[in-house]
Amino acid sequence: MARAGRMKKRVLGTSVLVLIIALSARFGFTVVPIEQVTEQRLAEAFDAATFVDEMWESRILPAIDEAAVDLSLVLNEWAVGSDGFAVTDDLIETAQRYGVITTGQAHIYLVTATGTVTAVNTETSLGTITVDIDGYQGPVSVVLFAGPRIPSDDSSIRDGVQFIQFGDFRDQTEYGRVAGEINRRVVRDVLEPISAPDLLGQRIRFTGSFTVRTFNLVRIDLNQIRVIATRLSVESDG
Amino acid sequence: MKQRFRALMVVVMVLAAATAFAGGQQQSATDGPKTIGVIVPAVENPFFGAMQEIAGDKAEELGYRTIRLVHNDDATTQMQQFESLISQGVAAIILDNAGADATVAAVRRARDAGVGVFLVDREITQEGIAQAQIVSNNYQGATILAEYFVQLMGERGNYVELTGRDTDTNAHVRSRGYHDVIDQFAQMRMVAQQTANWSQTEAFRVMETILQQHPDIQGVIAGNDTMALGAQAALLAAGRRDVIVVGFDGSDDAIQSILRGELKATALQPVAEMAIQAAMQADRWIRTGSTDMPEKQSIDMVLITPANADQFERFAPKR
Repeated sequence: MARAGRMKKRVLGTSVLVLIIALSARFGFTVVPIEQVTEQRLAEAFDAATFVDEMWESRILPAIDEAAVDLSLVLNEWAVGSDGFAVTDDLIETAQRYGVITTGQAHIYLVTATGTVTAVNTETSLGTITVDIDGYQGPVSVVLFAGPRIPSDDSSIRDGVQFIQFGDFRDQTEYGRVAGEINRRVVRDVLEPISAPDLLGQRIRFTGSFTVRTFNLVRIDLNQIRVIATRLSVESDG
Repeated sequence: MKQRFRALMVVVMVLAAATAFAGGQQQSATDGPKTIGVIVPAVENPFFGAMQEIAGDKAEELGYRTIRLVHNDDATTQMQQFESLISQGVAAIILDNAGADATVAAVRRARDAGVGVFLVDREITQEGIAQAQIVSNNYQGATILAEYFVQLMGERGNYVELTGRDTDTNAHVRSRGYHDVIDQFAQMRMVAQQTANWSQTEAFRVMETILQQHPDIQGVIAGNDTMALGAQAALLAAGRRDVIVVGFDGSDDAIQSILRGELKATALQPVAEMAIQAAMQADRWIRTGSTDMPEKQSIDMVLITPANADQFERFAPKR
């Protein structure tokens, strides 16, 4: 009896040992010193400003310049009701032709246009410049952000260039901050050098990006589109 | 001798079991429908309740059996549930997880057992182990809501922030999104920041206390709707109809409150869309071995205000 008991224990012991060896061989493990992990974490700490700095001039601006389509083409193709609303299905074909549709079903356009500034509003931090677009007469009002802020949730440029993808970031906060940082670059490099009120009545040329969100929306409000300009200049006569 | 043989047999069996457990696809015991597990944090919160119901119902509509579980934001419970589901031979697990870092081990365990994991709502900090991470873009939702809150406040004033449960990644994502916007305004002053753990009753108590200490407030921004509703109730009880309160999630209770003129805004989570997508992508993966989608999918949130609140119910546009 005593012998059988010892045997049972040995069997159990051997089995457990074999199980542990089998599992560790299958799953494996590596010992890493805590300092090394901390160093890795610090090295990986993400800085949105640096990320944007590294590609603003070299990749982002050229990508927009190259892909920008004539805004009036987009506006003239949209089936917008006289109330300024549209239904998503009617907008998809235009988005496929001239823009990008994201996994979140947002329609992003990179555009360029000329037009006349008809109003400038700088009452809030989200200032706007209203532009009468050459070649378009319809219900959609086009405004450019004038600063000193651009809404942090506006990710038109990040999403429009297509090479900045959600999957390349650790999480949605890093991804979101890239959009905010891009918008700050626009304020600093494009909007701050100009005095928005002085543009009233002037003819301007701009290149930029805007988003039409369609996800989970029944009717799409197109009374106004808000463009983030990456180039903005006053047109000389002629 | 006989005993030694028996010992050897046990060893062989353990090895065989370990190998099967580690590498093999689990075969369900019967030839009946395959099973999909649907795990959410808690069903008392209408957000998670709807998530589980819609995902589970869609999976059943696609011909699967479902096992529906609740982990109560406890990573240990979640791991036990994963092990249990794996041993029951489920084909896939749809999960609203219990922590971005803590969940990695559970997902890896499922992957090694050949069980696909489809994450909804909350993301994890590692890619390449889940079949899909269908994430509601909480950061975008938080910033769009904070932008609106700041406009309502006239870009100035004293406000209170109620934060969610500390273990929930999205509590932090939302708070960071709020502050990435609000902190740009020198005249927006946060006089108190406290957690109410997603709870309506806790938010009511917390708000009562804060009001005594800081009666001079103009706004409250909450990490979810239930806390916003709790704070709103405390403010109404104190006769403070003037304070601007905004929530997050787009629950029917919040929408009703907005239509009554109480809450001022919320951000609609794409709960229905995420749940349906998870079930459909799980089905496609089980049938074909691929979802045909990038792993990380970001779905936009919609700002809900008095102008459009009547167009939504049950976390989706009214059809």
